Amino acid sequence: MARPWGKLGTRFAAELNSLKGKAMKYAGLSVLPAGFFLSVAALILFPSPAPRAAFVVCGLAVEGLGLAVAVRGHMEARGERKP
Amino acid sequence: MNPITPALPMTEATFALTLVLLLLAPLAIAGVALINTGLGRSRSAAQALLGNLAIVAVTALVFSIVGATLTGNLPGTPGGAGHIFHLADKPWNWLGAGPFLLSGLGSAPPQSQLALLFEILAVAMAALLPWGSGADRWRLTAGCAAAAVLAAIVFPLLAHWIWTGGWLSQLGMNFGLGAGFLDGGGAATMHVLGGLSALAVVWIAGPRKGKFPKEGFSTAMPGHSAVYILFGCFVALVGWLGFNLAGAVLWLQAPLAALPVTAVNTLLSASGALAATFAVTTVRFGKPDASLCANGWLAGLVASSACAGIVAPMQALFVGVVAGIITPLLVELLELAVSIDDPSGAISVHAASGLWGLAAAGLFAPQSGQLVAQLVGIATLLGLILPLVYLLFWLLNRVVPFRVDPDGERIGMDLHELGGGAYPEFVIHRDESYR
Repeated sequence: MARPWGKLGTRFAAELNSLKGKAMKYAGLSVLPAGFFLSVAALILFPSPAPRAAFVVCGLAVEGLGLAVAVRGHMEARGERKP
Repeated sequence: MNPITPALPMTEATFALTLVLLLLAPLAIAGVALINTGLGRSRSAAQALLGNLAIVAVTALVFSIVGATLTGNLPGTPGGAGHIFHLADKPWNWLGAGPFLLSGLGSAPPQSQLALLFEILAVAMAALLPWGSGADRWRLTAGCAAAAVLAAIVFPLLAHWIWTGGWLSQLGMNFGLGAGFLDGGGAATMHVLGGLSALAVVWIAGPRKGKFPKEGFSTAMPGHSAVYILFGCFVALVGWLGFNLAGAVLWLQAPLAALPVTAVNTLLSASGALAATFAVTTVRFGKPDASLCANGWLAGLVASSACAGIVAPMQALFVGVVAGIITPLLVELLELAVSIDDPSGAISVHAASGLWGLAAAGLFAPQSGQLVAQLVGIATLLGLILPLVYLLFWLLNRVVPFRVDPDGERIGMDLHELGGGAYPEFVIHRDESYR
């Protein structure tokens, strides 16, 4: 079925997707330092080993989340589909 | 600036042995250069190998002029100090303050001179890794500029934090976390840094033309020389032994009697990884895959960089086997599911295996709290170094565009950038031959 706005609409949708992807990528990358600061804060805030280790792991989990968002954003920005 | 803990004196025998080991280390760089070249296409082979050589030269120059000052000297040696701020009553040594332009190097203590040599070789290795990932589309000048950025800013920061008395190395002293962040063979400073830089380059430069068509699966673009790739693995082993053993002496203060075990661990980790990748690719594809097996071997070596000086032989073997299983699966995942075009596999081989090796070093280390110290180091690499490298490369891309123009990519980097090919007597494949 033809798109209502034709080629222009398709191009606009692609551009919009690319912008959305870029925003996602930069959002993901800016989440990464938050995970780092969480890990470092754990060193200062928790003298006992168990909560300190748990918070360091939480920091790493936040970084994992940020990385996943950045990767997903990269895929969106490039307009690629999963094969 | 404050002076920090005194350095241990080094005997003449230790000095001589460490020097000989460091003279072997450039073979690791040569091996990786051969692998990078072999994994690229034949029409870009000369540009790839020249790029490897140019990057080694650029990093040596830039690190000597700028980076060595920011890295600082070993703790306790003359000039061995850093810039420190205090937070929660703890000192945070965040930047080195070494001599300017290598002044006084000749009269510096022997271990400081060896440490500098190690760092010069390490920064070259770190900067080579993204070059392989940007193969067939990354311009030579941009590659050299990125190497200069790594050698001037990012590597010195990381090397100071980990090796020359920075805050990561002092996690043990300040927070009771084992012996602080440990990285004897440069898994973090060379391999994870290089692998994460490769990810930044691949994100910024984009995939090779035709790699991910709009319809269907990604296009297979196999490396042009399995011989280069596999011979590079042999050469790299010798260099890796040099790096791991010299690093154990310099950064872990290992006695000479501990070095044979470190060498055995390096070999066991690489062998276990190769066997695992061989098995995984045979199960996946029905036959072992030569380039993935080479990647597996290299992943084992990378993982050993983190833990060869710390763990027992069977633990090193386990670390290698896990690296060898992860690597081919991750290479496939990144290409097919995430659309990341990484011809040399540096992201899987160097970043992922390096991170695994660093975590394993904490897991198997005898000191309590070592795992948390290693995890804090990993969090620093992912949370601070990756965004920093991406930002610097993104800015650099505005000044020196990374990607070659479409015409250059079509005719090949050799003809476009050098005016002549690596194999003038052979027929070179055109793009159309891949689809």
